[in-house]
Amino acid sequence: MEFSESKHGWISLPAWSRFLIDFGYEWPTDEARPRRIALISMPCDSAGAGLVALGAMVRGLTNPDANDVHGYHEALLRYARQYLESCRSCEMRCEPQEKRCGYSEEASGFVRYKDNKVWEVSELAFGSIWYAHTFPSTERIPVSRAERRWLSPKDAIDWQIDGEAWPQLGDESDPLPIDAYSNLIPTASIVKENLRRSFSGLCLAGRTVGEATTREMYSLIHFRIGGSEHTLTELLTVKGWNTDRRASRITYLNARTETIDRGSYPPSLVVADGDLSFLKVLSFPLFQRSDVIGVIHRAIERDNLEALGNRLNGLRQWYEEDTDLVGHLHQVPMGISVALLKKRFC
Amino acid sequence: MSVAATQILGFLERRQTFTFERNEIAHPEFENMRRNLRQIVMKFHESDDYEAAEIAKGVRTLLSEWLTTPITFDTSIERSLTELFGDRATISSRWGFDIAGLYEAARKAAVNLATVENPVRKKLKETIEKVHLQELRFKIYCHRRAKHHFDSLLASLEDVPVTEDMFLHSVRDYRDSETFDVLIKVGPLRSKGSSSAPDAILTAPRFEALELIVWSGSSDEPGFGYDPSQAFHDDAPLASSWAESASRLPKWSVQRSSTGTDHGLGGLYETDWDELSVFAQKIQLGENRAAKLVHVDEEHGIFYQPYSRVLSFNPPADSRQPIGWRIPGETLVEGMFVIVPNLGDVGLGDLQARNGYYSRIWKSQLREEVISNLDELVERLRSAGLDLMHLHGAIRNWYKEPGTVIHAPQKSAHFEILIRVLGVDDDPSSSESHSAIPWWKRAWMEIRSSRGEAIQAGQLEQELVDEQLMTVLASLLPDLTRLATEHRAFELAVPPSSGMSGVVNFLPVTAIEAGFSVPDGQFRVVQTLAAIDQWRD
Repeated sequence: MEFSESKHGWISLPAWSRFLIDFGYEWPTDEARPRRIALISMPCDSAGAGLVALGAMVRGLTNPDANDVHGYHEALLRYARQYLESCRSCEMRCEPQEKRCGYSEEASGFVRYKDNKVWEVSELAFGSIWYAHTFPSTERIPVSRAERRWLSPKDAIDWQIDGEAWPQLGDESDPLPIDAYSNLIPTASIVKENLRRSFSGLCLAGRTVGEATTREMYSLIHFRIGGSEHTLTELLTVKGWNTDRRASRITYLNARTETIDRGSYPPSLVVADGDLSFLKVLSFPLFQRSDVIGVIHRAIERDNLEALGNRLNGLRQWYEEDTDLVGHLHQVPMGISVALLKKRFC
Repeated sequence: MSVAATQILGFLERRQTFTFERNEIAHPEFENMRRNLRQIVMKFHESDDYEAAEIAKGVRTLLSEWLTTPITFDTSIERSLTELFGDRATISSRWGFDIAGLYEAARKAAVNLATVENPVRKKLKETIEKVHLQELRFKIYCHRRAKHHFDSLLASLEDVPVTEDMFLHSVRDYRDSETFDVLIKVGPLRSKGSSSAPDAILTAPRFEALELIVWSGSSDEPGFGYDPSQAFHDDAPLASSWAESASRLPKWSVQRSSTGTDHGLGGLYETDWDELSVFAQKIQLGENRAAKLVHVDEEHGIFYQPYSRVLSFNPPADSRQPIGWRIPGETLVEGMFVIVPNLGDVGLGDLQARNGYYSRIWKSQLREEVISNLDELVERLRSAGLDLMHLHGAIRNWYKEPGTVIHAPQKSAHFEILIRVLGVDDDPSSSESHSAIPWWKRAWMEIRSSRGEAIQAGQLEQELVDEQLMTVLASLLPDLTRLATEHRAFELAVPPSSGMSGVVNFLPVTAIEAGFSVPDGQFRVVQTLAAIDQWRD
């Protein structure tokens, strides 16, 4: 496997990239783990957060339970309930922090069937979702009660929540490129079914300067595996970053607008790109129980460095240094510094 | 565009240990001058007298510059002191014999300094010649306003090619720099103030050797080279195996050398002599607030509170949100424009919209007076109470044609004196000649308006105005993009159909700097860099 930061000058995967990918891959994922927070301090600007997220994503591909298929009907129910009980009659579009409604994003109430037709949730009764037909657009039309239909739990994965990734793609669509991921982590036993299934348990929080900049930075990273080339942007599978219709194995938080591309459930791990993004993620209500890995670079103003240091120091009363995990770290490359914290058991 | 991470990390991996040469320079006359001036600052700092505080600020600014740049020792040092303190004959009657004695001793030392070569400058010259002879690639880290001192020295060196990218002035410059061999800096390593430099110089070097040239007694800031990933385990020494395994920061081999004699230090602790540290502590005790400075051209800047939202314009065609609110240094960066509205019909009639009307009148009168007899005008202004230092230079600045801003005194009291002395009054032909508002106040409002002060009353009103303005500007995007191509300041008249009137100024962001503590009232106002220096940490 070869690596490039400019699509020219191919080299073998450098030590720093290997370290970051492995760091993400080896991040503890067992259910009983304490919450962990890590800060990786880099000597220069880089796509480091993307590489950590990529490693964590490959780890998810090896877990048969890491997908949105299981429990997708519950996700649809949550979505329907939010729409019917809150968003449909909400006078604020859309200020969850101000409204204090407990949600992080608006639910539009639209669901798309596999034939691409859009429907609107109309009623929730006895734990079942009822929907009414609408035209294939976002236009709402009045519907009579007689036109409503029932969304069967066994067909749940035939539906897509408006704006979110399909939980599972059919055989007609391309799976994620297994060669690319298995070459990145040769020891990873990737579950083939996961290559067509989306997953919302891992989140990438982009740079505060904006999504376009984050994406542009990641698009500079290229991998050449055998005869094919892949960009980091492509391999991360953030919804909307690639034109082809594939599963999305990672959610994206736009740290500038503080919006997440889908919000089915809180992710177990958030990887934050940059100092401000890291600080925002630590204060983001949805991520209060999620593990957080921040990747920052040190060539920033002292005030920003101190804001990070103060934030970590503020965690002292609940967190301790994770010496166990440090012991498992591979050789840290020169210039990289890591802080690893885990929550104390009370 | 940042340098490829592989290049930087590969460079660090290959070097592992870096060289830090700290050259301390001493000179008895310079130390004598420092000691006396420092005592004046300490005495005046405790005074509640406005003029004393202004002089203390002036001395602090001068000393900060002299300690952190390779100035030429000439008569300008004594001239700066005499301009600052004013007439020698009145010093003892105004401030007492104690201060007069200190001032006189400092002034004499300054006179003596004019006859010798600045040893810092000499050492810097030797250092540059040495690295040039060894064919090493070097860069100089200095404050943007100190560059001319280095330029004059480099001009005297034969065969040393001078390029713009030889200088680094900000964290951003450093971040975008390729790797090189030697970094040269005058002044101690500090995170704030006139000697500030990025912590990354020590934690993420892009060079093999650091050549630091400092005056004796100027110590590096404790904790410089801060890395937040170390913050949590302050109590776990870095040498411990745990910290070692989680952090691989560059190691420095420090070598120290001294040149000259330390006459003045006998009996005093070194920290007592470190003016930069002492001044920084004194400033922190004040009621000022942390600020970020957005440079809008070579001579002007605007203070914003950290994390404040600034209405701004990002010109590239592919920009998703060209007009928007951005955070200085984070989402507002070089290459964008700060938007400073200068609107009328928002509570103050069309007074504000007539930008340039009053300034043309008083500037024309001022120009006539300057041409006729500048010294006499200065004397009249001083007797009327306008007691600014460098008054000659200030007047020359005031009669400049309005550019980014209307050049004028910083304080309304000073402006009122200026207008009174000039004898400018109502223009009988003007419809506002019988206004209840005095002429100078109307002219002052025009100046404030040009500096971007929000005159519209009330936060809610301001938000409504901003919202409407954003909508209007979004409809003018093609014009804005065309006007922004040369990345120079420009203004755009608001179309009357929008229901608003006036103009909107677009000021290019040329640099962003942290490390200021600024009093309330100085934020979001276009200021000269000369005035800005007094608020450096």
